[in-house]
Amino acid sequence: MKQLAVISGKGGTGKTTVVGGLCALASDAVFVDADVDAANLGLILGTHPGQRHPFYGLKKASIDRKRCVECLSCADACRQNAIFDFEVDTKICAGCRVCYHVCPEKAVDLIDVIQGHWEVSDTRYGYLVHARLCPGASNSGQLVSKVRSQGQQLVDSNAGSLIIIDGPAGSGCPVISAITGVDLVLIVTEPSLSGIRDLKKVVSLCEHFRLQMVACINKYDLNRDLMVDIEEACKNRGIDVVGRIPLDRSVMEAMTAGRVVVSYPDSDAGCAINEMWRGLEHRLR
Amino acid sequence: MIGRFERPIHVKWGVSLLLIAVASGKGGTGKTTIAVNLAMVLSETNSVCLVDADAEQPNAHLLLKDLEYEASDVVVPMPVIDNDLCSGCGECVQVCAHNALALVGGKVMVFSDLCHSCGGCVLLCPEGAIVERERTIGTVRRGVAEFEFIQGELNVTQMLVQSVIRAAKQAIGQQLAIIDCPPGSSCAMVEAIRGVDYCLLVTEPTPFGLHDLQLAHEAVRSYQIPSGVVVNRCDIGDDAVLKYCQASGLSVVAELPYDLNVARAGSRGKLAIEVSKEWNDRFSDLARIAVAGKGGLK
Repeated sequence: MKQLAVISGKGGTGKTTVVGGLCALASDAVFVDADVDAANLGLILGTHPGQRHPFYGLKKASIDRKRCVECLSCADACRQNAIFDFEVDTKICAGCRVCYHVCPEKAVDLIDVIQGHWEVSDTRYGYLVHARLCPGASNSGQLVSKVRSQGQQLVDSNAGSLIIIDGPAGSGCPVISAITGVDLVLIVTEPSLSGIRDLKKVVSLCEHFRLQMVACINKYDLNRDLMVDIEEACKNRGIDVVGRIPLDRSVMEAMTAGRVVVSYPDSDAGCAINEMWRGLEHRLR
Repeated sequence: MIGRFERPIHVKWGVSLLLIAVASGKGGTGKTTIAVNLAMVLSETNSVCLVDADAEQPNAHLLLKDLEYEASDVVVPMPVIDNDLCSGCGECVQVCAHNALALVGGKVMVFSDLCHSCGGCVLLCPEGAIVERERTIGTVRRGVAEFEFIQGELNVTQMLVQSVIRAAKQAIGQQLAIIDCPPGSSCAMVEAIRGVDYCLLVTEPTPFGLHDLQLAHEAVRSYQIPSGVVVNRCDIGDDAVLKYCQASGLSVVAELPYDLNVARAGSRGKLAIEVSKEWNDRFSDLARIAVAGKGGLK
């Protein structure tokens, strides 16, 4: 079983478009949409709704007013300022449980509050595990771990031998949860100043976790000088550039039609992703 | 900036009188481009502060020239165990909700990258064996380009992005502030939009743009922030976003066309308003709307 995670640092470089293509090309793969904040992969894979499971994250605090003697020990201890008028605002509560431990009357209960949900869906190309985090919720890293472990379970029950993970943008805890322990990280970047800067950041992150990396330059004809700079930067860090995808209107056409761009035979972007997959497949053997 | 976190509700950050957030559900819709161009246009007639609150991947500075800034660490408290006082009882390990403490061979180890600085272990150690020291998790850079500029940046591998965003907002020193938010609708974005007067939601007319706009809309609605939608690259894609806005009572305050010249200029760090008079006018119009706070919220 192998795991491929696709990240970018900068948002909008085309991660999900690329991942959608790889999902269509890979045989014997299970797909995980780890971008639980804004899960879009299902929109282009022809997804059938599956059973939704609630995600609770860390338990939140709740004050029992019958037991509460209004001593304010909880509010004094709460560093999130989540307690006001002897009530916990569960949107702000981070689930640290300090109030629960310090309350002299044991008047604080720990309750499950739904923070999102996850689902296993059947798609045109195979099973997709995806999730949605409620707006404003924390514990995104935990939900990412959840969808990854569900993907793992599918593979363990012979649903596939490769897990393709569509990672979140950024470089924070949900990205860390998406990439730890994978066999290969594919970084999708674009030739812009922000694309390069964010590429370097996620490269540092992957180096910190000692992960194998390759890169793909999407929209490469946006700025050919910067494309050269990216190639140089990757070479200096020992990262192979395994794909170069041009700007291509068929990407938008495909997305609007709810399809992957590799299903458009005349698409330059589709051909480039196809070619990249051949190289990736070889590395993942 | 060690110590208790600020109360998040109904607090005006710094000395600002008008806070405008630029957010989006989907990444890459043009938030930063719009925030910087907006700040530039507004700075012609106002004292403006631009806050780059996309603390994991701050990029607004790439569009600014001659930026000089001072940096200060963003610190949070982190537990340090006094091994002479520690009895190895393991109470702190039990208390920690984030598994940041472990008892190994009778001694307590602290995994600082997992610590959320709640202070629970300090309060609850029966031996008083835990004190707190400052731990640097990021940087706030404050300086002057064409306007006041503040950037919050979280150090790679660190958690607590909200603390960095909070610190960046606290540094605002002008009466009008534009906040370039992180993409998405998670805790980082919500921290960035908390307390603002008006939010521009930037989207693109594609299925991904629509899907993620709905999530961001939910976030601004739950905090009752008036908002308006900017449809970027409005001529590429379909009309589903416009239909959604109409159905949900969201005002579309600007539709910006796709322009490869602007995209290429942006890739080199050049502003849209420098590309043509039309683009300057578009951002002037948007600035007027944003400051007036037009746009309904249902």
